[in-house]
Amino acid sequence: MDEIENKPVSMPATDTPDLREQIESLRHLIGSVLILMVMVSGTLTIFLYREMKTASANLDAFRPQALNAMTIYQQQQKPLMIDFAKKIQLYGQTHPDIAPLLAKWDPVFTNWDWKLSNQTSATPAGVPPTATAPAGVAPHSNTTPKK
Amino acid sequence: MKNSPLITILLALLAISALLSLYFCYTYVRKTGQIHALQYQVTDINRRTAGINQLMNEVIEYSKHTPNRDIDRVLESFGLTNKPPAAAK
Repeated sequence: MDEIENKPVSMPATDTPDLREQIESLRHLIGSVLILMVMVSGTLTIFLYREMKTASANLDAFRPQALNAMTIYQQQQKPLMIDFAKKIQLYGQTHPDIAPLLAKWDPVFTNWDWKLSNQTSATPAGVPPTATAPAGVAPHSNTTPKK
Repeated sequence: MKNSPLITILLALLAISALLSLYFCYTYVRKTGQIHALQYQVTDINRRTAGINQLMNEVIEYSKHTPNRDIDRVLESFGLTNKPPAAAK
């Protein structure tokens, strides 16, 4: 029995050219698939490159504007807003009739750096110590600047 | 069995293309994230400015209905008034 199992499989001489043909066919198939994959991958690479360039150009164009807006907000508008909220909140402590207005706006400002209504704490409006002199929020169009 | 040089070249091209795709995709995602973060901050600033302006308007309306010097003083300190502008000559 061992003799039968260990006996090398002898291929008929007629199978060898057929096998070689199949190997060649497989080689061609792999080559074709690789060419297709290179084409697809190259197309994807070019697409991603263009998207990256577009995003990069957009970022370069938008970043200075955004940084400018943030600088103006931090240096001018935010102190003015905080100062206004602080003064209105102080006014509300002595004039309870404005409380409904402050209560209406309080949820809007909840996530900001201050609070309007008096119910929060002893520190007025939760104003950080950085609040300084106001310098330039443009009033809404309905407001009338003092002459 | 010897490898065909064409297959080796194609495999190399595929590897290079895949690596470049990964790099471009990563850069694209990073830059898009930066743009979105900046847009969010600018939108937040605009929302805050609009909110405080609306509050100012409501305080001006309030001062028209309940006139007193304290609220006038608060408004005046911000260059606001509830009085109509002087007529142009």
